[in-house]
Amino acid sequence: MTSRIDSADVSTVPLYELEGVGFSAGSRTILPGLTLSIAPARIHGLVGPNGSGKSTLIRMLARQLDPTGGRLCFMGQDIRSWNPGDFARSVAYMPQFTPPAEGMTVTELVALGRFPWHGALGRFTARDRLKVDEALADTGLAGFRDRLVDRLSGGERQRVWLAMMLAQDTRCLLLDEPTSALDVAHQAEMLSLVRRLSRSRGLGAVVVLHDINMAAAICDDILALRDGALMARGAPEAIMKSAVLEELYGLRMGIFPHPGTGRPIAYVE
Amino acid sequence: MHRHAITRRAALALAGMAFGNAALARGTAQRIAAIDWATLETALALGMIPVAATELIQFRRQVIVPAVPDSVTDLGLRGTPNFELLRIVQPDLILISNFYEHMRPLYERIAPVFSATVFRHGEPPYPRAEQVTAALGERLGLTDEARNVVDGTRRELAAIRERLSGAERRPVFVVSLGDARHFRAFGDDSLFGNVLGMLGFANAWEGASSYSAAAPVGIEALARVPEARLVVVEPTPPEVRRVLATSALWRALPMVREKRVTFMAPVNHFGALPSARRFAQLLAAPLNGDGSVSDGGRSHG
Amino acid sequence: MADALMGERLAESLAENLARERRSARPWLFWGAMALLAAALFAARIVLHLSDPAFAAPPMQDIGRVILTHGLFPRAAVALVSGAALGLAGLLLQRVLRNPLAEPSTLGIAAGAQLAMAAATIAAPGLMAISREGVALAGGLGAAALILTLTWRRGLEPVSVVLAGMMTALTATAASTALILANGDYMFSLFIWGGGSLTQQDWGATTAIATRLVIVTAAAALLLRPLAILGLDDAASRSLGLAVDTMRLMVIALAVWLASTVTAQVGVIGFVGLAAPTLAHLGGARTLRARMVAAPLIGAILLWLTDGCIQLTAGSNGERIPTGAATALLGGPLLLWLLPRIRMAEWPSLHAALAAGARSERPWRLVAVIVVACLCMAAVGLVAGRGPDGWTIATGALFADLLTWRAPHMGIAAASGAMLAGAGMLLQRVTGNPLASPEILGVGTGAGVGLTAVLYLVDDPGIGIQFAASASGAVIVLVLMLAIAARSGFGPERLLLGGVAMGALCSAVLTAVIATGGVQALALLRWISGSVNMAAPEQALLAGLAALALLAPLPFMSRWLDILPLGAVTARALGVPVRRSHAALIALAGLLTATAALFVGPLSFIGLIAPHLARLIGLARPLPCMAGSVLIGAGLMMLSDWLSRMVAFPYQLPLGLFAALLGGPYLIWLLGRGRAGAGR
Repeated sequence: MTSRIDSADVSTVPLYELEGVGFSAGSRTILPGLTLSIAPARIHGLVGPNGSGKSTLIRMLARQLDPTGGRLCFMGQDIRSWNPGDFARSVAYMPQFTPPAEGMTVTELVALGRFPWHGALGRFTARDRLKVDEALADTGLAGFRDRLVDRLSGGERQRVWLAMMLAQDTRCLLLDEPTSALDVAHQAEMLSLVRRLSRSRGLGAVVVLHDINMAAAICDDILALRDGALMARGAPEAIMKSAVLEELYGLRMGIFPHPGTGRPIAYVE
Repeated sequence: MHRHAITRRAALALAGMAFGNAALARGTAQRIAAIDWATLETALALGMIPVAATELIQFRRQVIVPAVPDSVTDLGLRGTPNFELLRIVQPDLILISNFYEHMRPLYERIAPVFSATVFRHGEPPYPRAEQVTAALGERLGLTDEARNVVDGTRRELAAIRERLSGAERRPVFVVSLGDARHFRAFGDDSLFGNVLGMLGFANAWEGASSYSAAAPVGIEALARVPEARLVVVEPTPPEVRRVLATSALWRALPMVREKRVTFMAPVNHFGALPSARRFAQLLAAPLNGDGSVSDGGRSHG
Repeated sequence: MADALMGERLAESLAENLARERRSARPWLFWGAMALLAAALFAARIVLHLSDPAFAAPPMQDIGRVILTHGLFPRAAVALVSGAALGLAGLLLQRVLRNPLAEPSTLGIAAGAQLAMAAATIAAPGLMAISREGVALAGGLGAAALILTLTWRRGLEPVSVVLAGMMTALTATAASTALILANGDYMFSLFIWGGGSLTQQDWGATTAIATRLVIVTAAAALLLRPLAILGLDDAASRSLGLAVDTMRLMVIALAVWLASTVTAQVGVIGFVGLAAPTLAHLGGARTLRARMVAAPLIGAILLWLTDGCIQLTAGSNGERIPTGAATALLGGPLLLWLLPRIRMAEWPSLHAALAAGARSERPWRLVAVIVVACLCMAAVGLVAGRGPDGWTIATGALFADLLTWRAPHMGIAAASGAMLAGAGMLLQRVTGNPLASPEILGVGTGAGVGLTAVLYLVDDPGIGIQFAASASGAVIVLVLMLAIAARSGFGPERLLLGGVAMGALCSAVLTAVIATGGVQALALLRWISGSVNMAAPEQALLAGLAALALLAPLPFMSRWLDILPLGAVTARALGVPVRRSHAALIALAGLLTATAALFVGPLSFIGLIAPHLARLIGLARPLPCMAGSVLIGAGLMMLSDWLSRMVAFPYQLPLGLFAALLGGPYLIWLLGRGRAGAGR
C-alpha cells in the first residue's frame, strides 16, 4: 500500500474530503449528508448543540464508525481503503471517554502509541523510545514517567492520552470533547497544549468542543453543526456573532469583547 | 511381581505371596481385591475374604449382609478407586464388572483381572449372577463352595416361593424413594424384579430399568396399578416419611389406603446371589400378608 | 452531553431502535399469547387425565380425582407462584443492588439453600424432618450474608457482588456435588430431581410459596417509593433522606426469604429470577411500579409454560428432565436472543475495577519464585502420599512404581491448570472484563455438550474424537457469546448475562442427560466431576503436548494483550486489527479451555483465579502476567490434585471439584480484602 503522500503534497492535499457523507441508525438519520473538506495543519473546532451529530462525525473521521452514505476521503483516498496500520500512523484519535488503563505506568501507556509503527511482533527500537520521550517532554509529563495512570488526576490523565497520540507520530489529531471531564483551569491548559503542539508540529486537528468560547479561543476554523447539517463555518470572528449563535443554539445570545484581549465572548441573554 | 519390600504392608504382602504361590500353582488366587460390589458379596459368600474392596463405609450401611471384616482395606469410591493404594496392597486378582471395563488396562497394570457381568440392560440378572458365582468359584479354586452357594440360594428361593404359594397374587411395585414426590422403580431386568418373578409374583412396574432402576417417576404413577402391593426398599430419608404421612395423594393411593405398603431394610440392588437371597427373605413376610404394614412409613421391617 | 452519549451508543442501539418503535403494544400481546399457550397446555393435560381409561371405573375415580385436585392443579399453581416469587425476588435484588445480574441463583442464594439441605440430609436428617424450609432459609441467608459482608466495604459494587455471588454459588454447588458423590453416585439423579421438579401431591408447597409471595409483594408495594430512590446511587438516596443500608438489608432479606422458600419447596429453578425482570424491562415496563407487576407475571408465565412443555413431552415412564433444568433450556436461548436488543443505558456500569495488587518492580523475579514453588509442589506430589499405614515418603523401587500412577495425575493437573489459566488470562484481557473466564462464560459446559453429543452419536469414542467434539462445543459457545457481546463492544454486562445464560443452557442439557441415567450419564458424571483418577501416561503426555502447543503462541500476542483491555475504540485508533485479533485470541482461548475441560471437567475456577492472583501479586504487564498466570494455574492444579487424593484418603475427590472447592473460597476471601494491602 503506498498511501503515504510525499511531504511536498502535505500542505496542499486536504486531510479530509466529505461528499454527501451521511449516517443513519435504523430509521433515524443522524447526518443526512455532509459535504466539506478539512485542511491540514489547522485546528478545526466542531461545535453545536446536543444531538447535532458532532460526535458521530468525528467518529467517522476516526474510522470508528462507517458512513452509511456518501464518500469520505482521507488524504485523497477513500477512508475505507486505508489499511489499519497506515491509517493509525496518520490519524490519532482520543475518544470522549478514555478507558482507565489499570496497572499501567505513564510511559507504558504512551509507548502503546508506537504500536502502529512496530506492530504486533516488531522490535521496540531506539526511534520508538525517542518518540515516546519527545511526547512525554512535550506534554510536560517527564516527571510522571513511572506513575500509574489510574492514580493520576483527570487533567494529568488526559495529558497522558494526548502524549500517546503524539507518540503515534501522525499528521492529524482527532479529539472528542477532550475537556469534558476537566475543571476550567485544566480545560484551558489542555486546549492551549493542543494548540501549541499543533502549531509546533504542524499537525492538523479536529476537536469536538462543547464550549463555544473555548472553541473560539483555540481554533483556526469553526464548523457549527445543527441537526446533522453544517450550519455555519469560518474563522472564530465569523461565527461569534449573535445571529449565528442564536440560530445554532436556538437561544438569544450576546457577544462582548474580552476586556483584556478583545476576543469576542458569547453569553446567554 | 514382588519387587519392593519397602513398607511393612508390602512385606506382609510378600509373606502372603509365599502362600499364594502354592495357590497360583493350582491356578487360583489368594489375595483378591473387589472393585465391584456384586463380586465382593459373591467372594464373601464363597468364604474368600478379599484384602481390599471399594466403598466399604457405604457397603456396610446399605448391603449389611454379608458382613465385611475389618481387615479388608477400603479402596475408596467404586467409580474412582485409589489405584495407588491398590498398588501398595498388591492383590493377585482384581474383581471388576462390565461397569468397570473401561478401566481394565489400569487394573491390569497391577494384577490379573476377573470381570463379571451381572447387570445388562433388558436382561434378567439372576442367571448371570449364578454364572458369575460359578466362574468366580472356579477361578478361586472354590468350585464346591460356589456350587453350594448357587444350589443353596436356589433352594431357599424355592422354599420361599413354596411358603408364599397361598399368598394373594397381587402385582408388586419394588421402589426406592429419594424424595417425597418421586420414586425409582425396579423393573424386570433388575435383581429385585427378577427375584420377584422367581417367587411367582408379577412386577407392577412394566417399564424397563436403566442400569438398575428407572429414572425417577412421580408418585401418582403408582395409582396406575391400583391393586398392587408396594415395597419400598430403604434407606428413605426421615423427612420423606414425614411428608408422606400428611400427603393427600400418597394417602389416596389404593395400596396406602388398603395398607399394602412395606418399608424394607436396605438391600444391595447391584448385588448378586447373597443380595437375591436377602431380598427374597425380607420380601417373604410382607407378601405373606403378615409383615409390618405401614401407611406413612412409621415402621419398617 | 446527551449528543455525545447518543453518539457513543449509536452502534449498539441500531437493532434496538427498530424494536422500540413497535414496542408499546407488542409485549402485552406477546405475553398474553404465551399465557394462553401455557393455559392451553394445561387444559390439554387436564383433558388427557380426564379421558384416561385407567381412572374411568368407579373404584379408581376417587384416585383420579385426587390426582387432579392434589396433583395437577397444585402443580400448575406451584408453577405460577414459584415463577412469580422468583421474578419478584430477582427484581427486588436487581433493584436494591443496582445490579442487572443479581438474582437468587447468581447470588448463590439458591445454591446456598441447596447445600444446606444436602448437608442436613446427610449429617442431620432429623433437622430436615423438622423444618426443610428453615434449613433452606439458613443456607440462603448464609450465602447472602457472606456476599454482603465481603462486598460491603466496596459499597456493594456490582462486579464484586456478582463475582462473589457466582463464586459462592459455584462453590456451594461443588460442595453439594462432592457430598452427593461421597454418599454414593446412586443418589445423584434423585438429588437432581429433588432440585427443580414441580410434581406436587398436595397444596402445601403452593400455600407456603403463595403466602410468602403475598407478604413480600405487600411489603414491596409499601416500599415502592424508597425502592425507586434506591435505584439511584447511594449519595442521592441518602440526600433524599433514606436510611439506605437498613432499607437495602430489609429488601434483600425479603427476597432471600422468598427465594429460599421456593428452593425448599421445589428445588433450584434456574434463570426465572434473572430472565423475568429483564424481559419485563425489555417489554417496556419503564417504571418500578410497572415492573413490580410485570416481572412476577412474566416469571409465572415462563415457569408455567416450561412446565407445560415438560408434561407434554413426558412418556408413560415419567418426565424426561426436571422443570428446573428446562427453564434454562427455554430461558437461555430467549435471553441470548434478546441480549443484543437490550438497552442497557439506564443500568449502572459494571466497569468499576477490581483491586489489583501493588505493581511489582521486578516481575520476573516474582515469576521465578512461582516457578520454584511449582517445582516444590510437583516434588511433594510425586514423593509424599498416604498408604494403609499412614504417611509415607516413597523411595527406591516403590517410588518408581508409584510414579507411574502419580506422574500422570500431576502431569494432567499441571497441563490443565496452565491451559485454563492461559484461557482465563486471554479472555480477561480481550474483553477487558475481570469476570471473564472459561468457567463463567459457559465455555467449559459447552465442551461438555459437545462431549455429550459424541457420546450419543458414537459408541465408545476414542480420546481424539472426544477432544474434537468438546473443542467444537467450546469454540461454538465462545464464538456465539462473543458475537453477541461484540455488538456492544464487549460490554461487561452483556457478556456476563450471555455467559450466565449460555452456562445455564449447557448445564441444563448436561443435567437432563444425567437425569436419564444410562451409560452416557455415568460417563458425563465422571467428566463433570473432573476426575483424573484414570489418567494414563499417554493422556498425560497428550495433555502436556497440547498445553505446550497451545500456550506457545501466547508470548507473540502480548502487544495485542496490552492494548485490547483498553477497549475496541482505542485498539482501532492504534491500528490493531480488532476483529482479526479477537478472533485469533478467542479461538485460542476456546481450544485451551476445551482441552483442559476434557481432562478435568468444567468446574474448576482456575481460569478465573490464576490471572487474578497474578495481578494481585503485582504482575501487571502482559508477558510476566501471562507467565505468572500459567504457572500459578499449573501449581494450583497440582496442589488441588495432591490434596484431593490426601484429605479423605483412601477416598479421592475429583480434581475439578476439589479445585473449585479450594479456589472458590479463596477468591471470595480475596474479594473481601479490598484494595488496601492487597498483594503483599
